[in-house]
Amino acid sequence: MKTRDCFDLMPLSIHRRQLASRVLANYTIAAVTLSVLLGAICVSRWHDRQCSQASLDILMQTAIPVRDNRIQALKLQQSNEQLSKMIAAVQTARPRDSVLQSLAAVVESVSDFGLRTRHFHLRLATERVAGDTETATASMRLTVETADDSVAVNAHDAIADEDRFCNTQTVGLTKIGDVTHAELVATPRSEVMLP
Amino acid sequence: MKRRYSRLAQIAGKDPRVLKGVHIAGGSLCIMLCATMHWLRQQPNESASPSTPLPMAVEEAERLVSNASTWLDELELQSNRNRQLVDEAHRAVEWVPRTYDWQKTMAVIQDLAERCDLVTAGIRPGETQLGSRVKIHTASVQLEGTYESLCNFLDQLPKLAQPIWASEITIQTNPDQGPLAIVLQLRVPEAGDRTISAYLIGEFGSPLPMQAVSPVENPVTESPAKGTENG
Repeated sequence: MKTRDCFDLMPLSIHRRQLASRVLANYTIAAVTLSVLLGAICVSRWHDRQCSQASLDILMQTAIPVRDNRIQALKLQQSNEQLSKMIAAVQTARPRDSVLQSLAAVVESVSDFGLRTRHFHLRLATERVAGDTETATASMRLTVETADDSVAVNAHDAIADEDRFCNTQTVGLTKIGDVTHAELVATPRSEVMLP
Repeated sequence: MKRRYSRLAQIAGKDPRVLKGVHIAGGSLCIMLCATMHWLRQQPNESASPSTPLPMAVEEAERLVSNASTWLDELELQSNRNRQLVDEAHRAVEWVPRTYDWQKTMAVIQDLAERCDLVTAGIRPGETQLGSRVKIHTASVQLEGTYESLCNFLDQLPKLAQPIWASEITIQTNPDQGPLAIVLQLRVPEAGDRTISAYLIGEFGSPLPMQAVSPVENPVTESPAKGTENG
């Protein structure tokens, strides 16, 4: 603790008052300085905020039309995809000569074997109607007569090699006298489902 | 103000407790001001946030602005594509008949059979089915004739102005080398209700009515060539 000078004749009360004055002056200076700094920071923040708001406004004004373009483009894209599918669906329903092509394919396959055709049945796959499974299946059945068993086997192989048919089977191979009856069954392939 | 200041200094000089109070008050004020400044400096983002709610996030807005030309090009592309598709839709539904007339259909089939040297033994209407694409009227046709005539008939059938599908065929040969007995299952499309074609007709145009049915001018007499069908 600081001791008092023995030659100092100033009363203690004056010393105390001077000390109090200095303390008050120091606190006042510190408080004013800090208040000015605080004020400056607040003004700076406010200015930053105004600038930021202005730049955000410009950004939003630019972005909103782009967003509208984007929404419109995406909606159009979706609508185009749907429309494209619908057009394709309607175009695939247009009639074609599928039965004739399948018939011609069978005839071409077996024409060289000298078979006698007794019965031919061909059904192409149609679009499945609700509750109706019968019309959706495709089938081909060819009943032939021949004098030679091997001819029927060759006919089976010829139809099996044909691209338009799959799952070729010989379901009935019976011999009555000199004549062999064969029933060839296959499933016609079709890329387009009949309406 | 100055007098009050001197008075306060005088009181503080007389009483050490008052001076202590000045220390506490002054120190507290300075600490409070420092703390407020520190708090303001620690929260720059919050103070810089917009006062009104934004229509979209800033990051999204920046991304959109940077891709503005891309979206404009995309919109133009999709608009052009849409115009093309609308034209395509107009053309696509042209073939779909809006109405169905059994008498006219029967007449068309009989006419074609006659021109292809086939004898029509009978035509019977079948059930009506509502598919997703078109509504279908079925019919069963009994014909008699040669294989060549049958091929001509099947070749000309999809080329008629009135669209007709052949979906099923049964051929029974005659042991006495007579004409083939043929049973054909035919499918006659119509726009119908609640089908895709009906929707497209409603949106994009009207198809040809059924009276536009015209006879085939040049019946083909050659054997069918493989590959006519697209499928």
